[in-house]
Amino acid sequence: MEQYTNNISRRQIRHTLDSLMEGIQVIDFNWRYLYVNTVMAQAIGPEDNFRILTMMDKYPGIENTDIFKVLQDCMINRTPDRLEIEFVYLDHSVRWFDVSIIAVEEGICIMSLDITAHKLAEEKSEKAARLYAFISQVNQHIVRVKDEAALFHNSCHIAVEFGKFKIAWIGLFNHSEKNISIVDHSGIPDENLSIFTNLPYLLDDSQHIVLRTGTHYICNDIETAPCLPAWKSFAKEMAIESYVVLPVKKLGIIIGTFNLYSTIPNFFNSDELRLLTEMMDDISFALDAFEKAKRHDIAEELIIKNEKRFRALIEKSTDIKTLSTIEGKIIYASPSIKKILGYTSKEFISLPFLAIFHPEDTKAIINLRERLLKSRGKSFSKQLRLLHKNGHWIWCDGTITNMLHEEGIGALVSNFSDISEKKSAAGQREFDRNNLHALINNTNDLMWSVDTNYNLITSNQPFDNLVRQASGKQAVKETSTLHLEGFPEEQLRRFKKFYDRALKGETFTEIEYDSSPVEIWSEFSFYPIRKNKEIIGTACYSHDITNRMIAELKLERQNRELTKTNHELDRFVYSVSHDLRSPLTSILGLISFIEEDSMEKETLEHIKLIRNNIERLDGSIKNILSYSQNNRSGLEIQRIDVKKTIAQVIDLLRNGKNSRDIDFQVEIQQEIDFYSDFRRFTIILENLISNAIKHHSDASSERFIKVSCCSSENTLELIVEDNGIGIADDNHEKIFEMFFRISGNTDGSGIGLYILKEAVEKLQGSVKLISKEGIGTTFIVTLKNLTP
Amino acid sequence: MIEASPVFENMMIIDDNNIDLYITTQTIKRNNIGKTVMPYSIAEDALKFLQLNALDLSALPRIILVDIYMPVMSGFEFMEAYDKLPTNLKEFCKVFIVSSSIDSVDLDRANKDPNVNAFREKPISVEFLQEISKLYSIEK
Repeated sequence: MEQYTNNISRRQIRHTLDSLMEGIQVIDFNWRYLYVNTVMAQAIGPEDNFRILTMMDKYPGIENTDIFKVLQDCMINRTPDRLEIEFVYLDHSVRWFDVSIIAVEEGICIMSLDITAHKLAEEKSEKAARLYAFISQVNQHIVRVKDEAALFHNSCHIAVEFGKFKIAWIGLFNHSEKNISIVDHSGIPDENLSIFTNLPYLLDDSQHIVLRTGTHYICNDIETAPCLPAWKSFAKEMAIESYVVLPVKKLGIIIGTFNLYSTIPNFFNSDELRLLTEMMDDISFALDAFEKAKRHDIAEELIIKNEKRFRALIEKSTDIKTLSTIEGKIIYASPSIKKILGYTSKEFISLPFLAIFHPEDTKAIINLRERLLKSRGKSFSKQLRLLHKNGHWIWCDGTITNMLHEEGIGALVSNFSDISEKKSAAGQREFDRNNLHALINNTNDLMWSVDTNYNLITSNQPFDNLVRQASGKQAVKETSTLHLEGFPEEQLRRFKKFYDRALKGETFTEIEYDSSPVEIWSEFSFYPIRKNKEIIGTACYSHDITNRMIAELKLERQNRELTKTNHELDRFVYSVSHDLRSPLTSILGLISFIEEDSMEKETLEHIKLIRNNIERLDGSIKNILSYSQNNRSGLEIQRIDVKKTIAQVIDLLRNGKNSRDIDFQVEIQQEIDFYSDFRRFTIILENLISNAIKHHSDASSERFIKVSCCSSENTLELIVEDNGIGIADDNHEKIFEMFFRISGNTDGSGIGLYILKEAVEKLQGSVKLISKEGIGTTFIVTLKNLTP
Repeated sequence: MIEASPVFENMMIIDDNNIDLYITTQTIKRNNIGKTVMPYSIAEDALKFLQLNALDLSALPRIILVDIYMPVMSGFEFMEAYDKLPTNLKEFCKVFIVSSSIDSVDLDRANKDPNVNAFREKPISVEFLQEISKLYSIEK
């Protein structure tokens, strides 16, 4: 300005300034207007009016604006500036200015050019450019995307990115749930998304208006918009000034809305709407196309699926399915042919007609075909044999249907299912039946079964024969077995009792005697028949045991007789031994008198020989008695006083002629009670001691027999030791044999040790021998303590 | 040679076999065991004698030798009847079973009878008689 004042006259300058299109104003340091040119005066009033005014008076609140800060900066720092500003007047009108500020002597000079028209044009063209960009992008995507979701997604994003809308979202009406579900959106902060999701179905909201009217809805005043209060405060926060709700149509029906929110007030004018409507038509077109494509896809899919399913049914089926022509040429065979007949489908197709059928079936098949060809749509079934690739025959159930006239088929459709297993199962059943039949009939025993009403279920030949024999009639199944003719009432009553027991679940055997019609012993067995857990009858079995019973009775009688005989024999042996021994003892008594009385040397010699022979005979008799007793009598276990018994036996034997001068020593350690058979225990003791006495050499002085005994919990050990003649090693085994005698010894029967061994074995014991010829013998008998 | 007086005053022998009676009697006599031998071939007669003289100890035999196998009344039947005799008699008389039986049943039965002092096999030996002489002689 200094330059202005220096170089050009004030008036000139003023004129120039006044005539400028640019508004000029000079403000002093006190923010008073010093000068305003004509343009400015038109805008803010005549110069005189504002000479006294400050800028703050003229525009209250200006000190809080951005422009004021720039002015202040120039005022204080003297720095020039230039900027475009949007100036809002008190009447809310807005104008755009290109403002230059320079420092002048008086203060600052503000040059402002009204660029509002230019700005609006620019804005409009920018808006149009954005919309075009938006619509063109959408259109491009319509071409590219293949489905609704992608289209909606892209549309929302394009609206925000290219259309410069603050928010864009698409919601679809959900009539059944009475709400609008948001399917895609752009520009909505995550935290605010809840305002949009699942919008309630308000009758008078913008979206519903669109649904009702079928056309778009524009709102330029958020305050009065038909929306929820929460949404309104959100819109305010987002600086949204206007919005449009566009109907989304599919196949002519409104399915939802495309909602665009702008921060620009009154954004949506007729031009924009025209473009947007066009865009919506394009979207609808795309949606229709998608829908049609989808419907087509579904139909196609269904067809494919059905075909797959049928194919699977045919191909996975274990049945063979074939299609054949009227001439009998096979044109299709399912893959299961391989599994059943061994051929591949290809091989099978190339087989000549009738080649796979069994010769015996051929004629029937030809007949069947002829009949079939005459009747369209009809089916015939037959069991037939098909030739396996390996040459054997497979039984199949065949069904052939005439579908020659069926469109798309035009063939004879055959189905063959392998029934060889069924056949063999049937065969097995027949075999089982025959087998069972053979089993139950291959006997003379009676077998039959009755149900819970005592009616005959089944019976074997012998049973039938018996019934026929008794009643003269055939046994009839499913008739009562309680009223069989020809059988005694009493017998049938007895059987009812048996049936009842079996029907209660008892398995049992009874032996019965019947005197009528013939004398017969029978063994009856009953076995309940169960089905699941229920008893449905009983199997009955009767075995003629007459012979066995007669044999048993005979055996019993014989046994009794034998016992009696044994007893008699016992008595016999007993009395014989007594009767035989009695005279012998008398003779021995008399001999001793002769020995005492006689002085004749020869007589004494003879009498000695007589004595020896008598004693030997006596010994034999004694042994025979012991032997018979040991063999025949059972064990009679009792507690044995070992000490006393030994003493008694020694006592009995020590007085014999041979035992004179023998020193009997007894050593007993018995603490535990000993149980055994007394009679045999005595026999053992007697035999051991008498044997020791017998085999003492007469010559030896200091002859002794030592009997010792010790008992334990389980055994009793009995040791008899002597210093007699001893036994040669060779004979250690033999001495226990029957009738073995040491040569030269005439005394004894040779049965004593045999009896001893037998008795020891009967008492579950053992006998051991330690002996040396000329020194002595020790017998060790170990007996089991048979504690009861 | 001075004959020593016999050990026992009275001895009784019960045996159906007369030879055995003779032998036993002879043996007793020869060995000076008993002064009077009362031989009975019927057990019942012997029993009757004992019953009659039950109170007269001097008439009773100190030693009684009984056979088992005898008709009518066996040795064991005799012992059953003997058991019913007065206690003083049973205390005085010493009974021995003497039999040709070697049956252990008989032996066992004899040993179980408290009135039987011992069981002996026939023939009666001198050693046995000497032994009982020592055991049962009544000192004069």
